[in-house]
Amino acid sequence: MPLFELFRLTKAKLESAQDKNTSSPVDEVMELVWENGQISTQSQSSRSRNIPPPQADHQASSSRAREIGNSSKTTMVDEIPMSVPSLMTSLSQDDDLVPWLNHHQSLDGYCSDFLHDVSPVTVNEQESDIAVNQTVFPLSQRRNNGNESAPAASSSQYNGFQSHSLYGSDRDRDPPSQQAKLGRFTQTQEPLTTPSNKPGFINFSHFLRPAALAKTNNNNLHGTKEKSPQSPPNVFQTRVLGAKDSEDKFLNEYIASATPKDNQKACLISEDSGRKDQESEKAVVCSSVGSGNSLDGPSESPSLSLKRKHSDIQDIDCHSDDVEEESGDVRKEAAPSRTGMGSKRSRSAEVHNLSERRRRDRINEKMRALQELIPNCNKVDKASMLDEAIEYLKSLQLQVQIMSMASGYYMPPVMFPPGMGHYPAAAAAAAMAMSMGMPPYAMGLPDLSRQGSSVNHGPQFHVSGMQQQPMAMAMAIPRVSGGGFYTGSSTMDMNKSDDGSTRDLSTSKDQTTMKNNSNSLKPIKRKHSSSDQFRGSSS
Amino acid sequence: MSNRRSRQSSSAPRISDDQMIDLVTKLRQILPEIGQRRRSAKISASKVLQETCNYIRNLNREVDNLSERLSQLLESVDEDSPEAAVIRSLLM
Repeated sequence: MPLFELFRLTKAKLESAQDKNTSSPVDEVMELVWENGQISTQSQSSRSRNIPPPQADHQASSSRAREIGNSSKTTMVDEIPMSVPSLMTSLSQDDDLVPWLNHHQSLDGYCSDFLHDVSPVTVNEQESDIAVNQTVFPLSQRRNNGNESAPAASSSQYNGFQSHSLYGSDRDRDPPSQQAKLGRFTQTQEPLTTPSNKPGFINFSHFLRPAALAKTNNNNLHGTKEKSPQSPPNVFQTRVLGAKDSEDKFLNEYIASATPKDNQKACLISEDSGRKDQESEKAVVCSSVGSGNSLDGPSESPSLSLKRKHSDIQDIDCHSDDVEEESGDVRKEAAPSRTGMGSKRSRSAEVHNLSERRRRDRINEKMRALQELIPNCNKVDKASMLDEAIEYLKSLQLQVQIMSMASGYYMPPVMFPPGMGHYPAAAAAAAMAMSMGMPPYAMGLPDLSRQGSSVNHGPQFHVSGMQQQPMAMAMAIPRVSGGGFYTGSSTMDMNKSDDGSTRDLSTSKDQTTMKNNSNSLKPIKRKHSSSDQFRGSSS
Repeated sequence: MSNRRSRQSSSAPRISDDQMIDLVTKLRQILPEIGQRRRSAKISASKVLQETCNYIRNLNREVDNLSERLSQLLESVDEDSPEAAVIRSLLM
């Protein structure tokens, strides 16, 4: 309803804006900027963030604006219409990441209608009472609107409405962080430029999926939380971000890093459950998209750094909640206004609980992501799942080694001098000796396998010579590693055929005997999803 | 115990802290980066899990690349030759 109107509006804007906007890649994220009651789209690239003076846009949004303080940080608060919550719930089911918002800075200039539609929650850190949450509505304006990735579900919905991204020109949103937010939404990791510095950006605390990452720092933001509009706890958890630049950055970085590459789970509305507490709870942090799928690569470092922050706070020891206290303390600062009259103790307690819960949520989220990565993982038990993960990881390492070695062998067509009779055995022995040092070993191995007698055979010859080595290695490796990961007798069959074709390698027989090992190595090609084999052997 | 509060974990049974620590330690050892470097440093479980996910993805990617390379090699080799069989087996 109002959202759809918004969608139409944004769509229109986008279409108009598309022409004038810089030609951005297909997946460019377009942002709708609220300006004095109007939505203007601008691509992120052209966007530069700055904080527009609230006064300028004030009049437009005055109607909408609550009596929130009119300080520069004033933000409009608008309760989200009930339709939104329903939308949110549907979104939440998607598990997609709905990035949020935020940004406090001058939210003025909201378009009243938009505010109406959007459940903007602006958090004004300054405001003690008025929690204005600024949610950034990332507008994933995909030209093609094709969201293949998981966030698609949510983002598609957003596209449905042409989710307008309102970026409050927040303080110093890092361009990457901004982009990250958008990226999350859009699901593409295209680099996002800083939002334009159009004044009157409005950050709407969009009902974003609460990020699992609760930024402890952000908690301060929550301090101001949005009370008003977003009060319905059942709604999405609008992320209140933002008050602190640092926190925002932290969050943003995380988001950026979390941009899902494969994006699976964007945000989990963990906050949803029973998040009745108004305090920092509000800050729903979108869980790392895809559980940090996008953390790979450059974005990883910021995320790692971010995580490091948390790691400092959260120990690996599950039982040590002392660290939680730290985070709790951080949150406590944010919460002072929130809990207000509540005694400090209760506040700290709930803050502690909050941090604990956040930590748990984060871990759970990661576990889920890991579970998705592991093929044929149907374990519900955490311990068993981790066990499988460990096994799978080992098998993957092994496989990579084998394959790299094999490709190293077969790549360079080299003529090997004859006389490698006993070499294969030696190679096999060496292979067994060092299961982990395959690649280097492989490099040295061709030197060993010198067999140049059958020159006429040429490439074939050397290959055949080489093949013994890989086979030896292949057979050896499972032994060394206790061979449990692969099943199948493909290698065995190969050896058999080799025997017939080998010319001067008497050791082929030896290697055949090696095949007796029940755990023949059968590299698992992911495409073939031989996970079942893996499964069988791993158990 | 580990679950102080209502742990909304998807996994049903509560996993003991020691168990979790043990597993995470194992993962750390496997992981190329964190596991070997600072053993004493406390790494949050979430970070370890994150690293594991990343590592798995990287490995998968490598496997794909290697498979591609092997398949290319396979094309350059006689179909019936033993090495072809070897490569095929690796690719599977």
